[in-house]
Amino acid sequence: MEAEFLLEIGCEEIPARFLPSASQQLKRNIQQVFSAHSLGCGEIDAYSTPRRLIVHAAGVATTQPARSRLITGPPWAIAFDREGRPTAAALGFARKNQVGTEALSEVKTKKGSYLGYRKQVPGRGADRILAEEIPKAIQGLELPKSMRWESSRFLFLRPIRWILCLFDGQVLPIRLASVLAGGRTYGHRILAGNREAVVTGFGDYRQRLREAAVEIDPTARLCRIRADLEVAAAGQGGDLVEDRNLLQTVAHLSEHPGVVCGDFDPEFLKLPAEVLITVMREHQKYFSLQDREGKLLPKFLAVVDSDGACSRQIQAGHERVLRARLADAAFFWEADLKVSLQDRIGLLKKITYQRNLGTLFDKTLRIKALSKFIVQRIRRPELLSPVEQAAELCKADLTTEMVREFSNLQGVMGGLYGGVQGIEAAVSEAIYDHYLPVASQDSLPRGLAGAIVALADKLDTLAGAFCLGLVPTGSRDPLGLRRQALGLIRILLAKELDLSCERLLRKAYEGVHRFTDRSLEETSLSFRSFLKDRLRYLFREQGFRYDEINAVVEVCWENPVEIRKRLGAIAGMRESADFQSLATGFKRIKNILLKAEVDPQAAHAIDPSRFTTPEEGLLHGRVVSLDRGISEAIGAGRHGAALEMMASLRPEVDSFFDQVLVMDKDPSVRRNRLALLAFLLQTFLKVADVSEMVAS
Amino acid sequence: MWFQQLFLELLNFWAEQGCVIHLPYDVEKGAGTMNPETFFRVLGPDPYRVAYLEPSRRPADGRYGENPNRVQKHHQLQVVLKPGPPEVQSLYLESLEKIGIRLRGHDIRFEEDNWESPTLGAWGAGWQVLLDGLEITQFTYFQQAGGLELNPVSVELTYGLERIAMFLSHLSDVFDLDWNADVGYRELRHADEVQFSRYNFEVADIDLHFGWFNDYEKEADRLIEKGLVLPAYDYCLKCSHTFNVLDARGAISVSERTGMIQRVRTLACRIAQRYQSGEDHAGMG
Repeated sequence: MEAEFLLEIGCEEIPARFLPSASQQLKRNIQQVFSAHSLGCGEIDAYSTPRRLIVHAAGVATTQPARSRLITGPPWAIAFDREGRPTAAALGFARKNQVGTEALSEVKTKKGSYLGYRKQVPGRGADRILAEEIPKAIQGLELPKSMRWESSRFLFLRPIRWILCLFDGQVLPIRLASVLAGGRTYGHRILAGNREAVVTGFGDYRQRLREAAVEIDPTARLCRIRADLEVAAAGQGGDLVEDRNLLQTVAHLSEHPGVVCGDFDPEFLKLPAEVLITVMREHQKYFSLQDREGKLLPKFLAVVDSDGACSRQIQAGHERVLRARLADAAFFWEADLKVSLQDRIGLLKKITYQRNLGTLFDKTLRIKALSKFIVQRIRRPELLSPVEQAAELCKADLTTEMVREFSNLQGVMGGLYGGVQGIEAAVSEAIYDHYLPVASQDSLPRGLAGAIVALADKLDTLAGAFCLGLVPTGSRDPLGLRRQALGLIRILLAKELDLSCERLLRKAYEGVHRFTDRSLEETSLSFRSFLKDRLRYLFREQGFRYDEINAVVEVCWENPVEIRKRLGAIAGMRESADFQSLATGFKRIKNILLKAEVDPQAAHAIDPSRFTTPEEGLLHGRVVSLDRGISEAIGAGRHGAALEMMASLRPEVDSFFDQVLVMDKDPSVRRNRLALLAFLLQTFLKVADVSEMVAS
Repeated sequence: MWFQQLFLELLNFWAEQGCVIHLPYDVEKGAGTMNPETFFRVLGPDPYRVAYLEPSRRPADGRYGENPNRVQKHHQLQVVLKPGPPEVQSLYLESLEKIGIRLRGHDIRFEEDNWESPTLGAWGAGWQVLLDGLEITQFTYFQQAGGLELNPVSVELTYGLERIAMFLSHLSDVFDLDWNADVGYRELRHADEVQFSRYNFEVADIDLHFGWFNDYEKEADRLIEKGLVLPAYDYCLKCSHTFNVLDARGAISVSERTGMIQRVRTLACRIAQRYQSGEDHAGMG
């Protein structure tokens, strides 16, 4: 027998940002209840609105399957007499289990044959199990920022006000906080006056809520909103300024979404588009519209929780609110422009950058020094002047009213104010861009000057955090260091900056070391393993295979551009037979050295006069010449050639292992052979640690 | 609707819900929450319901009476329901109908907004209530006050009266509101805005204020030691307001700021603890 399960937890408005995770977790926890108790089930779906978390499962078994349990009794040999009649032992066993002897049978085990009884245990009813387990599944949700609201001290995202819980058409009387589950739901608070409805099953539930102006499926709401936005945009002769995050958010803010279009005074278009869009999004969750040329229109689209009725009135309300918000922004814009960015630098002395890392002014000086260092390393002296100016001014906008109100406009405002105040275009562009990339798919600084300041800013942040031991762990990364490091790598790659992160970090450490007792070595070590993880992640995203990435990242973690070149070369080589066999040989060498406790990184003296077989001499000769060749090839950026040289060594390596026993009885011969292998390994490691490669 | 009608209607509504109708407290404060009728009443186990009007001073929000939406003194209508009843949201919506907002024709939203007052050591979970995109009420389930975990949990509703009045009268300038049939908001309030903006931003004597801050803190401290938590709280409020004036005056550096907030918070937390422990405050119901 199969039945339907339906749970709706009715709440006061749950914050939009928590809805998706809470809904998914609830589904997963309930799925686990079914599987942990051997209750088969069909499709299981989760839905949510701001006022409800919903799980529906079809085809749930109404009882657990019956199980049979084997009970063993006396040895088979003494269970029956010669005539085949059950003995006292067998009768006793049968009596104990309350069955006749005909229900008993022989059970063969390792220890011999026994009399056995296969007892049938009926499954428990699903209703009983669910009534016990569903409340636990709900309490097992990991909810951030939970709250209490009543004397039961129950913790949840927001107060629970009703529970609908049906199984097989019957109410499951579960209890959460002080709420006992029933068979009722409630319609849209305003549009349906919170109308109560008795529900018999999921189809009925969905239908009744539709009638009561509630769409339970967030995806359906999102699609409806998107379609409505596009229609509205077209109606205004414009295009929607795409904003996927905002779209997600508004889909979780309404039960019955509708779109209202409004206007604002074109006078406000004197404000930069960045500011207008931010004000509309951050304060009001409005979408912006632009014309075909990408110029902002004096219009907005608001997603409301209402049907089309009275939309004129609603529109007028939203327009009034936006007018006040834009008036504030215009006030900030005018006020901020009265003080030049240059004059703001001094104000940074009064703002703490981060506890124990000095003021923002201190940070500015460090960014400037680092930027200068980078300019020198990449030998672009013509960039020195714009980069230094941009570095000096890049944090000045943190003292503006606008950035205090909208922190996501940091950098951007500096660039915009700089532009108006007549700062050179290259400099204001660099300021504008230096905070990029913010999100993982975000764009990068446009020019090289912006890229350099962005690098310096991120390096300083990373060096500061790592020298204080503020290393991200698990999901905890309050300073956003992972994002900073990914940004760093992405900029180096995009601008093809052939720079060592190790070297850059060392320079950045000079700036912050006075704040810490942590040594450069310690700081650099933890930074290294952190950066390697980011590199692995990033190159995986770019489609490289994890073993190729490991092979390269292990030997040249410090230079992303170099890593990318080698990865390209390896990907091209890996299918060749020589290379495959070399990878195997390489692993073998590593293992031999490991067992013999020889440090593969250290220099070991090789004495050719102590070679006892021709293979040793042959291999040695080839490695000596290849070592130089590979170094030169890498120096010239010819990574493919270096790899080919490695692969060309296959015959010598193969015959060495065929003919030579490394672990010779004579310790001096043995030491010499191990030294040769270590040398070979070191030569190869200049390119990549191919022992990391997995045979395909 | 006249401004005075608005708060009279709301007070009437909440009186019918069993609230004590209280009066504004006579010490300057930034928000209705700081009135002792909220600060002390949410502590402890006893049920209570109260509603009152509270003129709230935020010196930094002053705009010399020139901004149609911002004033350094605005009016909050504060309701505390302890414990919050299960139907509290419906009650609240009913109160909106009472002042003439026909909900069916509007976009009403409860959007997450967790209220926090660093100076009072208080926080709560809740929403800002948006009416056609306009924030009209802060709706909070009080979780902590004075650094103390609260049980039972009170619901606090804070109506922003000027905004609601402007909404109801379709006005975009607060100074165009009618206080009653004869007197306008401008007549009653504008001079106050101009003068206090000048005072808070330009004229307030910085040294005197710093001195007062220290003295008020000292007095609060002395009173806490004597178990006189109610007078002590007055001085805690005075510290808070003095700080706000200094802040508006631009006299507090960013690093000083955190320290001063912490000092007020420490007073508030000590007062709450002393009050809750119930030892020395004879005469409090």
